[in-house]
Amino acid sequence: MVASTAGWSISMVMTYSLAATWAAIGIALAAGQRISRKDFAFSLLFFMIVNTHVYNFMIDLFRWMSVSGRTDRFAAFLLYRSIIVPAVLSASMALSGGRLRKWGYLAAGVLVLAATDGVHSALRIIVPEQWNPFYAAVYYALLAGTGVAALSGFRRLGKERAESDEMGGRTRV
Amino acid sequence: MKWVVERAFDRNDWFVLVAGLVLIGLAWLLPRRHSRQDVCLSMIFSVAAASVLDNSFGYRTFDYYDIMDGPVASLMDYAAYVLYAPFGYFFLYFHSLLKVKGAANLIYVLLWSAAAVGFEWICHRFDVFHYKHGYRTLISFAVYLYIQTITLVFFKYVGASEKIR
Repeated sequence: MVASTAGWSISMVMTYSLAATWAAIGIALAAGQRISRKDFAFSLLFFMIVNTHVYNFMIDLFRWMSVSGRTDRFAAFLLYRSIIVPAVLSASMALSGGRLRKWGYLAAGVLVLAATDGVHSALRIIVPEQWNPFYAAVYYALLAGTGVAALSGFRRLGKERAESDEMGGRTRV
Repeated sequence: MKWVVERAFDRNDWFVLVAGLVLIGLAWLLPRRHSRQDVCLSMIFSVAAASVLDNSFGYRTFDYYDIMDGPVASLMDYAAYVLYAPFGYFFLYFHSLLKVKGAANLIYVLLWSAAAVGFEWICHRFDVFHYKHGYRTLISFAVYLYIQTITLVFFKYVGASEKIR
């Protein structure tokens, strides 16, 4: 697998990464129109925070994988961790309306990310120690499920305010 | 207890706890101007921006700074991110309180960037940040200019800059 990617020069890894990031952002913005802007923004930020820190845990604490020290591969990893994953999961969430009932969209997002994880192993952007695309799929499924629960809580915040306003009450933040 | 603090529970840990409590307390005491969703979004936007930038420019290959005791992640490293949340809320709160519009946004971003650099300098003095490879507080000023401009665009996008009442 490594030999087949040996021909990838620095610029090819960056070109791939920038194009993938562009595509992920484009898909997320298009899909994001299916739900309210606040819901979409919340899910994107939620996945950004959680995925950024969880990847660091997996690398530094659990040592399930390591990340390349080469600048282009490292930059590709940062784009994947903090932009592509949150964008794809937010797009899946927007298409499913933030509901687990429409799990097909969420499953599609999870599979796309698990496959991308495999591609990144092949490109040596990440170096798996005890990590493989199956674990990646399980992790992204859990992350998507947590995101649905968090979005449900965020939506409840809006409802609580509306109910409070109806009763003429003023609640503190 | 290495998962709580990397070396010892000292002044940077106390600073994060006390400053976090004071800033969250101030945010709590301010009269309400925005919906709970907007407050939530303003806070998590700041935490997300800090998480992504700190774990990019302060991580591995780039490694321009460490947070708290050193490069190893600990619970207090994550507690430090709590400091960013009230800042995001104050940024939104005073933007609507002062009714900032048009070119005044430029002054607003410049003043907040200066304030953020000032707070970062205090954090640096309390060993919350350890700069490496020539990084200086002043470099953060340029980063804050971009981040706070993006924050304004974000508030506009989600419609959080409108007053409730």
